[in-house]
Amino acid sequence: MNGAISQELEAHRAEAMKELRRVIDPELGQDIVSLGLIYDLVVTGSDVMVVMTLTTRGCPMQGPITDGVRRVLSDLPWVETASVQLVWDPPWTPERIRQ
Amino acid sequence: MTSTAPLPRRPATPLPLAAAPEVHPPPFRLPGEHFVAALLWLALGAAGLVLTAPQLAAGNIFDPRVFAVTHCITLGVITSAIFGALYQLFPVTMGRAVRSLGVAHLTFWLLQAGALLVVAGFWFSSGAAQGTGWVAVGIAAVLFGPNLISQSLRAYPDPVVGRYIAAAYVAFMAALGLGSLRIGETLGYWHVDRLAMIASHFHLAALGFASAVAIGVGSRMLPMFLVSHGFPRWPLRWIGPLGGAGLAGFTLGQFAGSRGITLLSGGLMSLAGCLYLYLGLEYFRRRVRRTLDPGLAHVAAAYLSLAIGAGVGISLLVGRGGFSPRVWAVYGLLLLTGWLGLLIVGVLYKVLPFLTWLHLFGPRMGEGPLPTVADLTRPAWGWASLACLLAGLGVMVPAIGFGLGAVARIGAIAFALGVALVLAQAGRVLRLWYSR
Repeated sequence: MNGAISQELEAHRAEAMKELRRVIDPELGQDIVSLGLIYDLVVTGSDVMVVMTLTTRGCPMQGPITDGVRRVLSDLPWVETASVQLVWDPPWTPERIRQ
Repeated sequence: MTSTAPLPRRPATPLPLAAAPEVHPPPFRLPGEHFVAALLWLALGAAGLVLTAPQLAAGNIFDPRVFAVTHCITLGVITSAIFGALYQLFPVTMGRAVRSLGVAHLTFWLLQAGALLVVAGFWFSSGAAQGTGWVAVGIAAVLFGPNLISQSLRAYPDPVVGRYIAAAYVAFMAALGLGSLRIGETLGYWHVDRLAMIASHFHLAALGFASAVAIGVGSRMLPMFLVSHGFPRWPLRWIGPLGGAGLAGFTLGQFAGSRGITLLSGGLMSLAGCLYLYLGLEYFRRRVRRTLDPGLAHVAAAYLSLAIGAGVGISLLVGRGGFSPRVWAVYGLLLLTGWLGLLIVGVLYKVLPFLTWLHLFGPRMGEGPLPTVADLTRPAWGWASLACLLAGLGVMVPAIGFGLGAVARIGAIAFALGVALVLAQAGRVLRLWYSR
């Protein structure tokens, strides 16, 4: 039973990560997952919380990107609430980019 | 049911929440009107440069029409662009909003009317127009301080940037104060050493005000656009104090007629300039985006102009050949149109499409395929404008230096063509803005 739940959560998590790739940084032309901006993705039942950062503190894209994250996650049929926690520590570095 | 399995690159340290206060940028109209005004002033300045280039090559740097064009650039282009950039930057990156939008719009119109009167006053030799213009500019400057600059010292999260901007404001007010000394002299109230006043006024405006803002704001904006990481932060702690002390000493040395103080303080300013050039080099060297777009290429060209201008400035400082107006003209041209002009054009090439993208597509982020910021511009126009601006400067600088008026005018025409392309690009982006 627990194994089945765990499998379902992992499937949801993978699905959510896939959706996050739809959020593209318009300046860099790369999605936020490839840019390494996603630090963590917590799935609790029908709630999803994304812990993420931005390339620069005070980035003007902060609002649209976090709104975009909530939007793409809310599109998933099993998601009831999607939230974003923005963090600056550890700071983003270029080494986090995955080509 | 919770899944918290770590992602491949999950950080090992705890993850504190971002504490940035939620402050929204002002409506685009406020920075937008400043940016549009700056571009229109740039067109006027470029046209004025075509008319006055032979005067510069003849060494007539005190010609009232040369002053008119100079103030077109300083008050019109540079001050308008700086006010607009600060109104946009502060709320988003510094967590501090402008106190009153109404006062902000008022300062805009006062600045524009004042600059127009000052420039017309110089061009048509009208003391009344100049005087009225300076009063309007002065009121705009006084209102700008409490409305925004006082917020800078409480700027979050980077107080260094706030200090640069506050110091720049002090230099701006000092430059205006020195300018008013000249008005008092014209009216017969007192006597001031004209050369000392102009040299101090110029450096306070170009270096103390405009360059200090460029250093402070640029320390946030340039790494963001270049995606630079790992550059040293320590030069920022030294450039301001060294440059500020140098500028204060230079002003004192000029008015006291002390070559020793002027040399020493000029040395401090040069050191600050070298440190800043090193920092700028590091921004570019440590960038993730290896390919420069036209906007960032304009910024790189601005740094090159600063480096050449600093070299000319140092030669003026240590030279013992007496007053050489043509070299002063080259120095002013490199700092005002080369360094600050190209920097502003480069930043506007980045900021205008960026804000337009946010306006058009920001609310649709994640909905589906969207254009990138670069898709809103025509890169070919950007490269063409850079080529024209650089060709113009590249011809004007030696032509003025060697006293070739007709050649200097050809350079000015090339520069004006570059400005026309900048305006065409900006117009295209702004049309997109208003298309929806």
